[in-house]
Amino acid sequence: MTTLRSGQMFIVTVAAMLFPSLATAQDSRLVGRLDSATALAVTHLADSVRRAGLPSEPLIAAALEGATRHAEADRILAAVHALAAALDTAQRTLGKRSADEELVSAAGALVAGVRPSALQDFRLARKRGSLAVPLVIVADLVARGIPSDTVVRVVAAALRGGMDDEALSAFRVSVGRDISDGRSPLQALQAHRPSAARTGRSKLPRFPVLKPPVRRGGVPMR
Amino acid sequence: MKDDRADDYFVRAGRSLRTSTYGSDAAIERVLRAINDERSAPQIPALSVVRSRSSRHITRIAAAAIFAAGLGLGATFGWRAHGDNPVRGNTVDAPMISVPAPAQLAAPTTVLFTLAASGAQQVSLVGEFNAWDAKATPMHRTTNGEWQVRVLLKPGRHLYAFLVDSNGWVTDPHAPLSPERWYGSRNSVLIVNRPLNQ
Repeated sequence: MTTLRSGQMFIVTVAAMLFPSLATAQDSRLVGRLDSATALAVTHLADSVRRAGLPSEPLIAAALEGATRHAEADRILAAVHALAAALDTAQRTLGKRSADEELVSAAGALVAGVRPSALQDFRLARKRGSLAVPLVIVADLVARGIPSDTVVRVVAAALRGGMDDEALSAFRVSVGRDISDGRSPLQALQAHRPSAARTGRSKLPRFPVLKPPVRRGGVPMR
Repeated sequence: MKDDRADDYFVRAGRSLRTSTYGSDAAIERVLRAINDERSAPQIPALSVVRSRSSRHITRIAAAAIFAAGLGLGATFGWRAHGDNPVRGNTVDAPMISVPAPAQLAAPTTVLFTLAASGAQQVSLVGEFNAWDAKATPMHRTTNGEWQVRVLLKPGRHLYAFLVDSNGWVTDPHAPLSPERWYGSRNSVLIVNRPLNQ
């Protein structure tokens, strides 16, 4: 496996900027949507990110979105690089075996202001199962004006309680509806904050039930 | 105020990519360091893990068969990511579609997008799945003033928005907001799940 070293990456990017005519290996989806220098820079970054084991499609998509929105090339490049950095942090935090949608959702949460340590909390809280939906919900609630630390605390507690994606989605809808109706984001969150009784713990037989430690003499500890 | 600062950051960061200060951006440095990592961690699982995965694989096949019927139903009737739509019917309440798509098959699923925009002359769906092409997925007006379109989506996370009358970038009022706001306004998020990959 070959990967570009940072110096090489720099040279390729600068060469693409200075000599657009060299830009012959762009991703075909970018042709006609971006100028050739920007397309080549995005393509090379996407290639490198892919070789590093990260999902690269979101980078291409972010560039294409910028083209549709008539964004300047500088802004498109900044978006693509920032997204790549967030994906890298997400993978280093959640692990290399994480599914692509999990990494992309985690990158989004990081962009929203969630700290990497919160991702680890979520992973510990839900050891089995994807974190994609919880992370999307966290990012959504932060986007609606709830402080990220508060959202993280609430959602992590819900995950520890065994709350499934469906219940989390319903929670998000309720909070969002209240905010749309004029309630303050924090009030809305408090009003619908998941309680232990609503986590549906009993519906989760797939989680192994830990037996209580046994004292000498065989009497279970209480 | 915060948005202005973010905008300013992106513009400055973008410019820095074209100048000799390229290497000074901490975020980019992190990416490049990651890119240069050999990432040669051993991928061979322990024997017990192999057994575990093998049995899980069998379970997945069995589950895939069960889910296939549901998937067929979903494809037939369409799962729905709805906009401002008062009619619930068979729609999924929150547009976080939980579709039983086996990971191994990565089976695409038909999703029905709707938006209530009775005054609009033209509405199209743009998103990662159609390369944000404004002409790729025009929506059709229904008799009750809604705009609809069905799209085949792979499992995963998808960003999308509605483009109303060619210039109005509208999010789905019922969907989660995207955290990314690279170009000013947000998008909507849709997740087509693959529960068997969990």
